[in-house]
Amino acid sequence: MSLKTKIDLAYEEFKQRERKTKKQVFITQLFMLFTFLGLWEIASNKTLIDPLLFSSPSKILNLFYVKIMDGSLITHSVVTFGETIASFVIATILGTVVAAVLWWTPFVSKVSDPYLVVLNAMPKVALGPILIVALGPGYLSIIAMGVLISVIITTLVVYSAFHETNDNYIKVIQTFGGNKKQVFNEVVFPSAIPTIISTLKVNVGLSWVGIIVGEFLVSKQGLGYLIIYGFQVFNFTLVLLSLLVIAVMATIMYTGVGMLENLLRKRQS
Amino acid sequence: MAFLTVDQLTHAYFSTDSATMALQDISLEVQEGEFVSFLGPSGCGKTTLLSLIAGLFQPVIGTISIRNEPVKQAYDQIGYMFQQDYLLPWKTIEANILLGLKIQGNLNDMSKAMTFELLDHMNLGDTNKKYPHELSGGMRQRIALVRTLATNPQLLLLDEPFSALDHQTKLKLENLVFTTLKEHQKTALLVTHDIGEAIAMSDRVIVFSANPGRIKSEYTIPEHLAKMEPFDVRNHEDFKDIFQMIWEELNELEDED
Ligand SMILES: Nc1ncnc2c1ncn2[C@@H]1O[C@H](COP(=O)(O)OP(=O)(O)O)[C@@H](O)[C@H]1O
Ligand SMILES: [Mg+2]
Repeated sequence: MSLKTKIDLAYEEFKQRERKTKKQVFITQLFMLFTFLGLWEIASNKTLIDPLLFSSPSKILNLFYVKIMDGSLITHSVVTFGETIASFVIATILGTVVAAVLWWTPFVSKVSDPYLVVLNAMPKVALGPILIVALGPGYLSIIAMGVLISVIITTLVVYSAFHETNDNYIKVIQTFGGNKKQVFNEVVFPSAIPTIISTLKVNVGLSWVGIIVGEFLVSKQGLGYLIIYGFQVFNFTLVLLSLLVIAVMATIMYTGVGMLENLLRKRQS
Repeated sequence: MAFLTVDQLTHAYFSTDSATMALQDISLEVQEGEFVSFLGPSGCGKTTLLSLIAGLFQPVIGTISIRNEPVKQAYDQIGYMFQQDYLLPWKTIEANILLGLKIQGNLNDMSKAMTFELLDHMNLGDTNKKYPHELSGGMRQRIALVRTLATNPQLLLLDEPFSALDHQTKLKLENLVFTTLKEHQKTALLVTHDIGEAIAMSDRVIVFSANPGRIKSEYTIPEHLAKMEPFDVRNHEDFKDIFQMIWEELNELEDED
């Protein structure tokens, strides 16, 4: 047997082992999920846990069906999803624009430094009531809540990426006689794109927090509202259903951003 | 009239708690088409001098002129090569080599065609659509050379452009840069701390001393060596004597410290 076929064979074996491990991991994951659901169902049926508090998978599934059929779950989900997307897009763009202004004018950046630190340290949700008074109890306040929670950290992170651009790249542009705008467009902004993408990931999570809290406070529509409502009427099946829907949607958004990141990485690296 | 005139140049870097004297009272003239090397220990202000000539910042005292024109406005006559290639990693080779033309607003079919021809000349014509990370260090530095030459500068400022390369690549690139610059009749200033490289490439070697950076001495390379390609100079019998002379001079400098 030649060396080449030996290596090919060993490689085949390696790949097979990898495939097998992957399959085992997946099966174990599925097994855990179903065991959990099964135990939950049984425990709830036999009142080992309080069914009023912990509900049960079958009840949640049942409610899911009912709420899909009367269209209300879709409406609430669309509202929350839309608010989250809006707030996370606005926060990322706004944060990046403010960071660009800070980079452009070092004086402004020095002046605003302590204010940004304070704003960043402050728990933004505490501003919720003020937002509602200022912007009215509606979408606007909720989206503002989501923006507020992630915009400061986006500004700080993106600004520091702008600020830490490799000086030598800037020097390349300058030796060609490039002005500040060209330095920003050709070097500072493109080199910060990976950082901006990674703040997108963080902002997905933060926006969900802002939106849900906003909906708690405004209490009109959306999954946050369903949770609060379910809590008030002691319908924990509704609370758990809303939680599940949020988990699924947040995962979808996060995966979407992850795919965007990979796409850009491939084009950039 | 000299091509480049540096007149009583002194520069210091300021920070809140100190002022670092980088260069003191530098005066020199460079003729058109001349190749001059700056040799000296690290920290003697060689990069500072090139940056000042490139007009990246202004000297505290003194003036620099190219054909009697202050360097503030001379960026279109200057090309700069750095210790590393600093090709922009998110741009293709094509976009990288056209960068200078784009910034200076001179991007047109003719300037593009000339730049691609230059790339072909370096045997790198097929790298156009690639990204910098796909190429070796030597290839990248050659592409950086194309990027620098694309704007057709009259004066080349070379800041240790070979120091990050392996020895073999470095020797090859010395020859390539030398012949390319001679072919296009460029004036060049080369910063290096490699004595052999300075002798092999230049018409004239200027030795700097450190703290603060000052011109210590100057050697004119005999014409027959100056004309020769760097690799051949290194193998020439007269090379050793000049090397020895400069070597002793630099040792003296170290002892003074
Ligand atoms: N941006 C800077 N700020 C403060 N000091 C600097 C700066 N750049 C260089 N220096 C100082 O100026 C002196 C000369 O530096 P440089 O021109 O880089 O020397 P060389 O290129 O010969 O190694 C050194 O003492 C260095 O520490
Ligand atoms: Mg240097």
